[in-house]
Amino acid sequence: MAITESKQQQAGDLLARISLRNQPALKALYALAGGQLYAVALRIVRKPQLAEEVVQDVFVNVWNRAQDYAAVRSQPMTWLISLTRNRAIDVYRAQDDAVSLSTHLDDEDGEMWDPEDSNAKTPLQQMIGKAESAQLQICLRALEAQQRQTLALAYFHGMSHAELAAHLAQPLGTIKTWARRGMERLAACMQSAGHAPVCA
Amino acid sequence: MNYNKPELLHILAGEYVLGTLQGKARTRFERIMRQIPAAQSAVEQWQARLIPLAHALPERAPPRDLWRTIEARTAPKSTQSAPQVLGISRWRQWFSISNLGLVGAGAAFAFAMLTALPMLQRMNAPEVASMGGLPQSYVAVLSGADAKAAFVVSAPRHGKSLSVKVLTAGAIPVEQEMRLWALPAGGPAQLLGTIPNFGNGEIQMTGTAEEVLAKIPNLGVSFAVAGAPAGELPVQFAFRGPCVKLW
Repeated sequence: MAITESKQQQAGDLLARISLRNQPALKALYALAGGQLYAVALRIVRKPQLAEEVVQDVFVNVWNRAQDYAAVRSQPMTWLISLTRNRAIDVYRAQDDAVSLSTHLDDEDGEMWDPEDSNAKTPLQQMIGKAESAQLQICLRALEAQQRQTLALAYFHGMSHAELAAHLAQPLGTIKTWARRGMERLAACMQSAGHAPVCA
Repeated sequence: MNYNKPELLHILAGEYVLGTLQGKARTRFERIMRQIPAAQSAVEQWQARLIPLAHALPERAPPRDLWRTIEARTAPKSTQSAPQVLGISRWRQWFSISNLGLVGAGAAFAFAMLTALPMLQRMNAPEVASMGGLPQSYVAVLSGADAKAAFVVSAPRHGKSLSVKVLTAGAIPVEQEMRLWALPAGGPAQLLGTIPNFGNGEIQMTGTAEEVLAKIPNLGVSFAVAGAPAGELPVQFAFRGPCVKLW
């Protein structure tokens, strides 16, 4: 779901009020962003109970650290989503069965994406297709299929290099190369397109 | 590892945001981010590049009880959050014992604090980070005869610059300027400076806020003929208000 300027503005205003210990503002922020943050968390930890734990921790963290937001140069929703992803990755990592979880993803997520084939996209491809930045879509399409799939699996599922290697049945070194080269090409593509490097 | 190499920070930041940086390496990089601004900046760049992917996820309704749990964990119980509400509590206490007795003072204060916050947040990062709450600052909210908050003045505890924000000062008489004064208890007013351009701006102090304002209970604003001698004490202050430590 695209983040509108209005939503960013609302989130920023609410963070300012939360930094003054205004709990109704925290509730309003939950109403505004809770659904999106829960979706981000659930995508990574894949268990509702864990996703609930992640979102709970994020909002408690926001309550205690809202004033820190001023020190970063991200948009409010970018900051919130980043907090959520980081917490979700930590929670996911703390699970003993993290590897087995990641190797039982939806089958569709394991399919290679043919950028020339616009039909019958997998859920993962659809999400990439819905990325609100047209430039990001263009740059992702410019990657090799393996690189693109590696980046998407890591980003959406919080997989480590070892888990990606197990999931894609490739040597660890190959996975690291795909990920690194994919990121380098993505960054170069975004930069050459004049994408503002700092502010989301 | 030499974390001063931009290309290394770029790679590590990318892996951190992507999620492939794991375990001790991830924890170590989080520490580096707090120590090296370039690392934090590199992470923000990667977040900006990749965040549209997360935006594309369809929202999911969280479980019904989730908010209640969050609410319980963030309830402003004195034992749970005392250190972080200390600054605000002191304000409340000050207003309750002060002689203001002005209707709406609380609301005016809340509004003024909202306005002051961005100024406070411009202070250097370590001082903010060490607090876990609002930054250590001196803050004054000045009101006129109508009891409406008219100015917010603030300075980081160890900063030499006073930030002045005009809220509702009204019309400025022609060929006059506004001057900001420290009002010591039982002593003559001390000129802090002229409010720049009749509006928001900065006033440089002769020392740090701690040195200049620690024993000053009130600040005042007067009107003066533009260019009048700095040592000329005002007959009256059009605006005045308490100056307090925010920690």
